Amino acid sequence: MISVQMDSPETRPKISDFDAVVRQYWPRIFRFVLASIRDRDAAETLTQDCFLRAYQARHRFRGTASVSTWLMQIAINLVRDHARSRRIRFWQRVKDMAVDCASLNEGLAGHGISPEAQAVAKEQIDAVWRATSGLSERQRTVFLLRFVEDLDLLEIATVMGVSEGAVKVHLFRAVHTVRERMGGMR
Amino acid sequence: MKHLSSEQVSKVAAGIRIPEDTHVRSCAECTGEVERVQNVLTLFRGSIRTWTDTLDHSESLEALASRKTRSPHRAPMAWVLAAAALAAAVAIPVYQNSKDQEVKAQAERDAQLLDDVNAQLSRRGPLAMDPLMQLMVGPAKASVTDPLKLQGVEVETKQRDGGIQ
Repeated sequence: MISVQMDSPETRPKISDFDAVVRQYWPRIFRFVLASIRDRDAAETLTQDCFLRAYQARHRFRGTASVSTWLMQIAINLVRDHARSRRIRFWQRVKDMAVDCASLNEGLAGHGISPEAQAVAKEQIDAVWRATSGLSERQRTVFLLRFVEDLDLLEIATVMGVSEGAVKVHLFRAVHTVRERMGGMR
Repeated sequence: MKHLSSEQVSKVAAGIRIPEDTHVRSCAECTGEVERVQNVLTLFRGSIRTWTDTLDHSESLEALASRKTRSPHRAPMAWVLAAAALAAAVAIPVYQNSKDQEVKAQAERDAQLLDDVNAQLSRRGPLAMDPLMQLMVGPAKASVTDPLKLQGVEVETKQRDGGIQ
């Protein structure tokens, strides 16, 4: 298992120390890819592809963006290519989603939460997980970058190569859709 | 008091600033609605992080190391272009020279053929009778029967008549 490190300027590895880059950013890239395509094996492969591409292109990295932004850009492109090339709509595969949701909810146990609260939380997580399946590719990417990877709007705009205004529009639509699917919206 | 609309709640929950931000801070109902959404999203993030952080990636990391080793070292594009330019700089003159020589040789062969044709046309008797002809006409006339000497006249005549282009 790889431990997650903070991405502060002091702990950011240089691109020249590529093994350190892999150690630092593997969990983040893998998490984003997995949440995007919902297939663990494919996510492992795409994460490898992401770092391999970065390794091969490391001489062209100019440092205008951070390493994590650069890696995330590669990952987004790979996820997009993967979805397009294989024409897989993971979002519509309820069966697979059920498996993934079960895996997701394993994390809830052992956190001092009562069984009732766990049940409610599980239901809510399932609802969000399912709701993201109905989002467009861009909305889903923005949603995951914002609420799983904790990127701010400007970072998302940089990573996706779109304007901050466009990010706001996608994010608003994504959150609104998720709220509708969650139910209980006033 | 006018509460936030559903769209406004979604915007605030998404972290998008709206003009009604001050209302959210002063209205318990709207704050509660925004927090409810944000709490679910925080739960969602936590569950994904907890789950993925427990996964073992050692096989993938080994595979990546192996792929990195196998990955061919790509020569920088500038070197590839320089090598291609050098190859072209050497190959083109060689090719051009060979082409020129071929054209020159062909021209020589054509000229030789023309000479032979002229020689045949200018001959006044069969080849076997040449020595005899020379004896008959004597040294002064020998040059007239010499095919090489007649070449210019014959070619000129033929060209005028449209025989040789």
